[in-house]
Amino acid sequence: MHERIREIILKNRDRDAKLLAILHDIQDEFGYIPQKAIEFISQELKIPEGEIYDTISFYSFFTFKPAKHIIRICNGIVCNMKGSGEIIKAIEEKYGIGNGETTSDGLFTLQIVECIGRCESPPAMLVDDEVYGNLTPEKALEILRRYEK
Amino acid sequence: MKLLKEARNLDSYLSQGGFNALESSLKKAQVKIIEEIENSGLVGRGGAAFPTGLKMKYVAMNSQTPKFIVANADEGEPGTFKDRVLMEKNPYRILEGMIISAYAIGAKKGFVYIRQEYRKIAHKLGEIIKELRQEGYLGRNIMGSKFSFDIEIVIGAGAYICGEETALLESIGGKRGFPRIKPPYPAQHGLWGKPTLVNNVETLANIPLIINMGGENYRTQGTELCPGPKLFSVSGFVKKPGVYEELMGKATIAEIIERAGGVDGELKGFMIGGGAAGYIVNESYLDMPLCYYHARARGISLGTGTIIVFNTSVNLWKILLKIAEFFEHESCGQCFPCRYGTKRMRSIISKIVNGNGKREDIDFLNRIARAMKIASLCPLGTSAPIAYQSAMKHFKEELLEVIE
Amino acid sequence: MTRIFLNGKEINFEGRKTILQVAKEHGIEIPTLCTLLDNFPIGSCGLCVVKISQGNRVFYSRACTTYASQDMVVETHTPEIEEARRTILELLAEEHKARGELRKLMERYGIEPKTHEFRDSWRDNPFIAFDPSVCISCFRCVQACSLLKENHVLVREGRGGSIRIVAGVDQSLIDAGCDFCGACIDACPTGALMDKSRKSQEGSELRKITTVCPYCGVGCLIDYFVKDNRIVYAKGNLKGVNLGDVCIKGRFGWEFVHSDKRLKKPLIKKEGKFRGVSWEEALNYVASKFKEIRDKYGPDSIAGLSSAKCTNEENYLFQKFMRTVIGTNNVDHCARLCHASTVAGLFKVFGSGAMTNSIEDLMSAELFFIIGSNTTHAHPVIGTMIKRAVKKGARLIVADPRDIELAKYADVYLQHRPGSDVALLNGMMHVILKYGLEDKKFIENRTEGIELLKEVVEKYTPEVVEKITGVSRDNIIRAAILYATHRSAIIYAMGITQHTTGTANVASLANLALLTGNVGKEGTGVNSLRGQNNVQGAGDMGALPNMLPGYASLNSPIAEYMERIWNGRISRKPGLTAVEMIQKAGESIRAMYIMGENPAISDPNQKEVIEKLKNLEFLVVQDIFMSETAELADVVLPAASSLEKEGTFTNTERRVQLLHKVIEPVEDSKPDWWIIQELARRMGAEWNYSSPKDIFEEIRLVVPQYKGITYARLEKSGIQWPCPSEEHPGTKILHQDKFPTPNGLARFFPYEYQPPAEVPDDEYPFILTTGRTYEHFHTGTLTRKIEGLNILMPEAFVEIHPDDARKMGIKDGDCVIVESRRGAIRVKAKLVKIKRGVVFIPFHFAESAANILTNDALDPEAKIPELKVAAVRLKLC
Repeated sequence: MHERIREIILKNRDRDAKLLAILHDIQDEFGYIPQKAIEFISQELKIPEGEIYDTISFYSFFTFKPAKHIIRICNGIVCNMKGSGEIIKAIEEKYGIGNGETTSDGLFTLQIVECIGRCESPPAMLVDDEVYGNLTPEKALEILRRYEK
Repeated sequence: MKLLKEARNLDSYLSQGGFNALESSLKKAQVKIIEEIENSGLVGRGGAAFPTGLKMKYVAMNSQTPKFIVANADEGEPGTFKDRVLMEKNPYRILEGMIISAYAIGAKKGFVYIRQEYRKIAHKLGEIIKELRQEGYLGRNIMGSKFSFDIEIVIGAGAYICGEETALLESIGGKRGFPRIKPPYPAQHGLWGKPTLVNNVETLANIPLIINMGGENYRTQGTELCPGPKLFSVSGFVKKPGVYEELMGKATIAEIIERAGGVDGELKGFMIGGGAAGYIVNESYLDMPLCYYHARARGISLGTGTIIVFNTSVNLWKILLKIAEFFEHESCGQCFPCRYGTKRMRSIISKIVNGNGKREDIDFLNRIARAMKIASLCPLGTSAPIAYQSAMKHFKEELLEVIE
Repeated sequence: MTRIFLNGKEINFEGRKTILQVAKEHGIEIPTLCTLLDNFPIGSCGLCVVKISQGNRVFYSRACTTYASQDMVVETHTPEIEEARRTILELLAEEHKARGELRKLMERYGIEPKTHEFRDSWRDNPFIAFDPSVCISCFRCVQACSLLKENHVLVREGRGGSIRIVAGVDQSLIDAGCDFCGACIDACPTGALMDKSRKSQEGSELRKITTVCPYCGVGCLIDYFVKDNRIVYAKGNLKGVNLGDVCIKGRFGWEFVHSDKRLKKPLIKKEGKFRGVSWEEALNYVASKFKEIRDKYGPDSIAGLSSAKCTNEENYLFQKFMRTVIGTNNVDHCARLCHASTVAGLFKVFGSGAMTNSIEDLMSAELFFIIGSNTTHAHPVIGTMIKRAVKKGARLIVADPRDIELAKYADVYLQHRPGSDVALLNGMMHVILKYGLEDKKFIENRTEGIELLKEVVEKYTPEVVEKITGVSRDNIIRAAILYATHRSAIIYAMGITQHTTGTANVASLANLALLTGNVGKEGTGVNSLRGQNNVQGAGDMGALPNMLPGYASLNSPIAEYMERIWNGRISRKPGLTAVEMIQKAGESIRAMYIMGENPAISDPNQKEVIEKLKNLEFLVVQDIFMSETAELADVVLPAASSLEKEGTFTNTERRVQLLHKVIEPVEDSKPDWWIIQELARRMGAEWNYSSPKDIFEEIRLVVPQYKGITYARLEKSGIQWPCPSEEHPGTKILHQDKFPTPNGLARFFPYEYQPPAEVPDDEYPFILTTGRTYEHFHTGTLTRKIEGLNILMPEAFVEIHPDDARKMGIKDGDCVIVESRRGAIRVKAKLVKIKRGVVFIPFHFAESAANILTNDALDPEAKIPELKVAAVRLKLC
């Protein structure tokens, strides 16, 4: 892991805004931010571990538990008016997970999030970086089925 | 003159006269460019409507170096998606505006801070920046001039507060997104303590337009007090939700709702300025021309240019609960009035939505709202009670109906 | 001058101030919970919000973050503001149990606070308790930990309503690297953070007594809070040189006072067993034995070790006892082992052997050159000040074979070989002269002997020095240029002094400072950090074999003056030094009187020290514990600790400070001055001191540096000597106009590089160097009685470079045998980035005593042993 993290740090060495970029790369690589990673970043960037943790824990995108895919269902004001509640219910029932929880096989983590800026096609969701709009409960479940493979 | 004119690749942008503004700017004295922008009357499009030229002047006049420029693409205000659409349709103009601004203030390095939810766009922007570097529009000696400048993309990580300019600067610095105490402002003490110009991406897209047509000429567009084009995110119960462009003050709210296909159902009211920090008003505002000054004159704010339409099926307490939940979730927790105020507002409204609201709950809500407005540290806290207070003003009877 | 209108009143003030500061100065109390540092407001609580009208703007803003500017109209207590404050407090009351400042504030606003019993959720550390239900996340502790102390251990986790304070990566304080300075506790406005020792005493009335810390030479003032003759907790005093800061030992290191291992009554050894006796019996016995031995073998057959842990008054009496009652100059103290070479080296160059500048003014230095001082561990409060200064922009050069904490902050880090200091410093001077960076005017006006210096350093080119020191020539050049081009302060400690070339090392530092004019000015100087709280004072008081009080020579007319005051004769024959007296024990030395020292652990070549002490006919040890040395004694006299008595201490910067009795002496223990006087009387002296103050009045007569200092003045604040008259404010910086030499000029005194007495070879390939840890102190007599400190630092270790360790198959945590020509010990291996070929062992631990290994070779001038270089070999247990 140290090697991989060192590579990530090296890859971002020319950046001025290093820490967030490194954390994104680690989250992508491992599906979460491993504790060990904080130790390595601290050594390489000479930032106290606690301060890195302080930063990570602030942002809802970074997680401390691994998951393969993160479902972010928009429950912003517009999506909410247009029925995001139904979508959330359908996913919670199908996968048996609530907000912030991960399926036992580590495939999906569910996050109910605020407006994701797709208000012209509500309700919407993100699966990892991919956007899906104008959802119905059926359509949402059909999309997620594709990620199960 | 249209902000939303599509340019999906460099060639198409160049064929529309892209980078002419940059080329001509690089031949001008820096102070002349700032003068043009001051003359244009452009004000920031991110919500605060601060005169753009003046802000540039503050940074330019600061003797400290290095200086930085930051494009704020952390569009997090609910119901707002105009920056996203702009970045999808014409990312080049934003970057051109950024390069011109950097030249004008003497910055060598710029950052585009973009929200994590728009990561695909961020990657596309990254490709474009590489392309511009190759083509000599970025990097060393831009377009053969002595001016060198480069841009780095910073992707946020899920925090609404990072749209606030000082929280955004903290975030670029690798810190948690706690807003700083102002003053000092970013123009004095910005990224890593250096003078920094922070502009919304829509604001930046206006810069090449101003350079191309001249400040005085730009000022004739729209209204005298409030010139230029503006993007409006229209959503909710309209038949064609989307981003619509209008010259400032040239269309009323009723007209823009018409452009968006008209109301889906029977109009009840709408939320304007933002889907969280905005105002909930009734149909008496339909005739209001869309511009910052008219909005201010009528006691509200145009904010990011967001209009969310409510039809009669909408339960306002539920909307207020949604907004309260939003603020509770997005409060950074730095200051007490906001940290505890947002949490308490949500719990009281939740009680009301469940049918258990009492008169003293309304009194307490009002008191919390007043304390937050007076004592919160940043605009998130001071704007969190706006929706509740404005709804109370315009829909008092309906809201109090459910209270014992 | 700025004018504002505050609640309708016109107020004029000077300088840049926040509204909160101006209001406070004018008696208007604006409530606030989060304000810790005026210049770094946190602004979290929002309670200090005020209404401001300026020009045509009217707005609300925080008084703590808003600077008052011309013609501002400020209202601090409008009904709207007071309502907002009450609302915020109400919201807090719903969420948190209230204590401390918060509770008082709630009561003032008529809000019923929830009360509750303190529940500690930080059980995995020995000192600091935390109750999260009381914590309001105001971040004052985070600010104290990061900005005040540069520790960065306490941080914030999460956001919004679920934000909370955690240590490190949500770890225990120990795992997060907390150094237990307690700054967070002092910062906390609600009592969510608390000293563990205070928990059981919650709510009881405590008495506060301020006195000087019993540990190192920084001389921090500490407030002790006492109930029923027991200390409950302690914290730094804001008016001390420490400005409220303390380290782990100052904050939590007082527990030894109440240890059940304290000596409770006098003990006489008969047939190898100690038996408790009355004071009368013990004192009579000691007096008669001393008389017997003196009469039989002559006065020079008795030697005394005075103590840097005892007061000035006691050191003064002790040397007076040895000189006039016994009749010998055989008196010394542990400074022989730490700073004898400072006194000798600085004397040669400057004409005076003390730290030149003040702690306070050091912080105005543009550059710190730290050599042979692990400041953050051995003098932590000064270490913190340096870290803070560096964060604010000061430059830092660190020279140390160990990768010490300050090396991380350094602009240039020189990891030189132990014992190569003279070469390194000569090399720097070579570079400075080569680049013409010397201060020609200063050299011309204030010094002599530059030609001699030029001649000596000529051959120390960076290339030559690189070979001797193992430091790259580039770094030597960089360090030299940086030092010469800033207002630079040298700070050093035992890494410089404890060598056979100790005097040469110190003199070379003084030469370097002279060469660049970095003496006699603010933020400069040659600053020796003294290791014991009164090691400066013990020397000032003449607990030295070759000098009388005030550093007067034995043959000077002053000696005659002292004989008149003392009503006794002073031998003109210089006495033996500390190490020499023990080397001669059982031979020319037949009896010893050891007060508050532990040579069995602190001295080099331990096995031999113990053998020699055993050979004495009569050994008296006066201590607060049964130390390893006391075990060997014939009589052990129980002394009171410094927290149980009055008197004065002189800290590292020559500041004389008054002690206050925190508790009464434990059991039957007595203050050392009382014991010495009782012995003197029994040996025929007509002494009649009724208090330490009486003794101090006599000191003022014989020590010119102390002449103007009185107890009455010291009650107000400490005074730095020299202080020639009662009107004199004391001396912050030495040598400002002239040096205390006959012609007033400083003398360059160059030395050639000499290798250490013992160098590594095939048989013993490593260099051993020794020193202190942060948690423990000296021979551990005090700190190893404290459970919490033993939990944090339970045992000795040997620091080895990972590359060296790998070659020998040693892994981190392995048991290792370290062996020198003098003995062997077992310790745990600790792999760190120390210089390759060098190993380090702390000397606090009797069970694996580093001084079994060290070399007792002496510096020929200062007679200081070479504790910092010994050749050793290592193998797995």
